[in-house]
Amino acid sequence: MEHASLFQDVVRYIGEYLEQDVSHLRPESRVATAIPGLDSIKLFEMTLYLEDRLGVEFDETVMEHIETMQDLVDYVATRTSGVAETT
Amino acid sequence: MSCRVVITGLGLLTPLGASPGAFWEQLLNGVSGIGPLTRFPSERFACRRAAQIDDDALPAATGPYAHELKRMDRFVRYAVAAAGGALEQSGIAGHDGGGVFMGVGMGGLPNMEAGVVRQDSRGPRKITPYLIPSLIPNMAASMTALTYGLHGPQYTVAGACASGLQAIGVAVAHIRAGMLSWAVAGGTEGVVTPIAFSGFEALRVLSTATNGPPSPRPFDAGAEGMIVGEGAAAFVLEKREHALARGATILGELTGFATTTGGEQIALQSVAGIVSSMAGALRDARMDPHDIDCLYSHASGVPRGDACELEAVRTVFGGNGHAPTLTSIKGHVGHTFGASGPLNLAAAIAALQHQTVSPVLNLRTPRTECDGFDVASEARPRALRNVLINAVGFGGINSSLIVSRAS
Repeated sequence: MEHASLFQDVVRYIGEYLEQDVSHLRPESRVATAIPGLDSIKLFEMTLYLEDRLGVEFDETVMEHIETMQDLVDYVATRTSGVAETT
Repeated sequence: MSCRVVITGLGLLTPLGASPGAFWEQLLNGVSGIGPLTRFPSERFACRRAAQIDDDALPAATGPYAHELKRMDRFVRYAVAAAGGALEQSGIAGHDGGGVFMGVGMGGLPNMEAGVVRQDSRGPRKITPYLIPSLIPNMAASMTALTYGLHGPQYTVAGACASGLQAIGVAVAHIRAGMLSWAVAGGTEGVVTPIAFSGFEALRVLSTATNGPPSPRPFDAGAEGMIVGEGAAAFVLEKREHALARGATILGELTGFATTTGGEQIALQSVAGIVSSMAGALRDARMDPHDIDCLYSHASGVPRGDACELEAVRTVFGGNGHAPTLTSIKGHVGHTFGASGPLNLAAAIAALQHQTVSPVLNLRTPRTECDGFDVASEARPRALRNVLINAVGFGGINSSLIVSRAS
């Protein structure tokens, strides 16, 4: 899997934000449906959380176009040149 | 003829804890919930004390909206906690049609202030999308309704320091009119935040005493200001027949309510306004002044306000040979603004149950306007049938509620 380490980080941060186990997420999981209870406000705030944890800044509208977890990880990789900050 | 409205549940979250029994014991024993201001650095303020609710005292957010509840400002979380206690005591959960009526004076000042600080330091893009939902005043009622699955009408009353008492009055009116069988009603406030202290210090109403007798000192000749408090109190109000039919324990009956407009300037109380409010509550209850045995007053330790309320009390009750015993709880818990009337109601219910008036804390030398009145300088056993409660707010808002012993 491409960006395997980054994928693990993203899943971990999503779990931290939601305070729930999301280890079921796979690269092909659809962000909008595979994360329980993820409504639009949670998604917006989760994006801010991922920005802070990963040290990146998302384009304002990018989440509208991201469908799967792999899409998300690939997008983060483009913003970090493949190096995720984990602090 | 309108129906009778009774109280079947009571929930609290106060600087003296969340247990109604412990709240009453501490009122009786002169325990103060006021302490050093620790929520934020206080060095730049003249007033460095507050009646705060510790984070540890907040119940864990649970239920289908736990994620959202954690992001709500304090006044919302306090209200939801208090409402939960009231619903649990009443045993009414699961009955259809309950409404929510919640009073809040200032809403989410803490989150507003934190949002401004974050906007300035990190930019508008970094503002949480929960900012607005977390601080708008209706969210105390809204999160109460959503958390506990109450599908009846939902109202928020913003009447400054009279908000909570007005919310209870509006709920009573709905039940009397047959629009509801029961409702959760109360008030909440949580504004221990720097901008609130700046605003109140600008108004010159906060106690700045650091030495000498403890403060605030309601009704005292040496009173020099109030202390900011926070908390919430909520009640299950119910049509009496509805409560009796389900075998509920009745804690008290709400027999009279009135709210009026009348002030002097936007932030000064009016004798005539408070008189009209108390007289209106008596008319609503079909009572005479001599029917009132105790007044849980608005008195907060701000000298002008305390004197004004006392003059109004003298106008309504003076010379009838049966004046009520006067008391205040703001020496114990500070001024909780929109929650102050409901917290007074919680104290009044306990007073009726125990046939004792709780004492005014920090009262040493009653101000001259107290002459001729029985001010409870210590716990005062007394036959209590009906207790009057006052709450007065900026904008010339006066409200009075009468709670009567359960019969």
